[in-house]
Amino acid sequence: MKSGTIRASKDQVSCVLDGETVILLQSTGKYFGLNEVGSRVWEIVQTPCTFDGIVSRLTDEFAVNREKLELDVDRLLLEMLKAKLIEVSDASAP
Amino acid sequence: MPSDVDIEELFSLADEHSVEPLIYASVQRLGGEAVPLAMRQRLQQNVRETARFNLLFRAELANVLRVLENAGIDVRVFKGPVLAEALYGSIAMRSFSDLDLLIHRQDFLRAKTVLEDIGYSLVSTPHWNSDSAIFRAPGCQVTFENSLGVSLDVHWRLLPHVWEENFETEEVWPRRVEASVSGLPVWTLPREPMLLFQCAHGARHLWARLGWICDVARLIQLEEAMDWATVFALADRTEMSRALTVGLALAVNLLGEGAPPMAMERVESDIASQKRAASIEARSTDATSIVPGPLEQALSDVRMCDRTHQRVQRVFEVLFEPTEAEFRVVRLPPALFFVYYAFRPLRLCARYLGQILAYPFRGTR
Repeated sequence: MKSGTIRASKDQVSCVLDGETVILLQSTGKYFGLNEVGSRVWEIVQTPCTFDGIVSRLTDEFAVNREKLELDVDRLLLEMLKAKLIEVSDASAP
Repeated sequence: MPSDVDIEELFSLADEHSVEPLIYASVQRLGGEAVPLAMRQRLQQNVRETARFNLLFRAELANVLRVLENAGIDVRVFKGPVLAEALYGSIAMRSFSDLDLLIHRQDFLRAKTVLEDIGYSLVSTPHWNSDSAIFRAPGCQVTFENSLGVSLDVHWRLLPHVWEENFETEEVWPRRVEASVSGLPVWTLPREPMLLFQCAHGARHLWARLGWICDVARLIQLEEAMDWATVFALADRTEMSRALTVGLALAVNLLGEGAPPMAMERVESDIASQKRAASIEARSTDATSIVPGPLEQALSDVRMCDRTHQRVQRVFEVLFEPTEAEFRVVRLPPALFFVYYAFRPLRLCARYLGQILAYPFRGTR
């Protein structure tokens, strides 16, 4: 996860509701919800980015401890990957 | 919030009037103790359900637009999801129950084939099982549905026949306006024809839903670049000035001081439209059902017409022009379509004779 390019899956549609995000994974018909921080991560991965890029932006925006943030973001991204909400491509891929 | 508010009635009305997301947004803005916690939580849950439902429609919209585009069919998306995003900032913030598409009449049969190929079935009832019969559909629109319950209204005209025949040809198709539906780019109506359409739509349904008035209010509130001269000229040319001004009056009453000056001026100069709007507002608080009966709707339609010939045409349509109600009772081939013009008035008499005879003697509420 910490290497490679991360991006939102094309197989989903989402909307923001009161600071939270509701996501529909079209292939399965399953819905997911993200809280405020998760919604911000989701917003960032709408364009291809790296793990470090996500963490750096969140550290600036939420003024939190970077080490803890890295753990939280890593856990969140792994859940998103497991749910097929995001794709991770090779670091060398465009 | 007053302590004697009937919460169940409030939720029921909010749902009927399609304003639950707007109430939720207002409650969130007020914050804190404005309403009981249980009510806030229930609102939140309902709006989340709306969001999920709307996302399903948004996903289907992308599929439908893709196959239509691949077939070379030009489409304009309007109402529902377009208004949700453009007027309220999110597809979650406006209830809708179907997707509305405008296509060229000459593309309809190809569109029908393409939609059936991806699992949609025609649920409207034509008068006969033939392609030509579909074009006799009332309101120049038919409904398709798929196994997921997604309902698609495909229109080849926007305005009823009492209004301009060439509205789409001259005002809609020549100008493509891009909008976004949760990231999906779509082509929609230009803002001036959209305002007229929203007012025509509301007028046709007696503005039975408060959500429709909110849409017009929000549209005129947000669109600072609204070309009012074009709007009024278009209304005059299409002979729907009354429908427009009544719609604006309802919206202006809702917005109060926040209404655009040009809209307020128009309303203030038309006492008849103000009176019509007032009677619509009174109806919304008095009516036991928000859905108008056919007689009430017909009378309202006639009052919304600018010209005598439109009123005559509308009365003729109400009394004689067949609808799906007649097609469901008896299906006649094209060669016998003229029989419907006798069948409909007979069916209406049989069904509504009692109400029609009692109507002149109905007391005021």
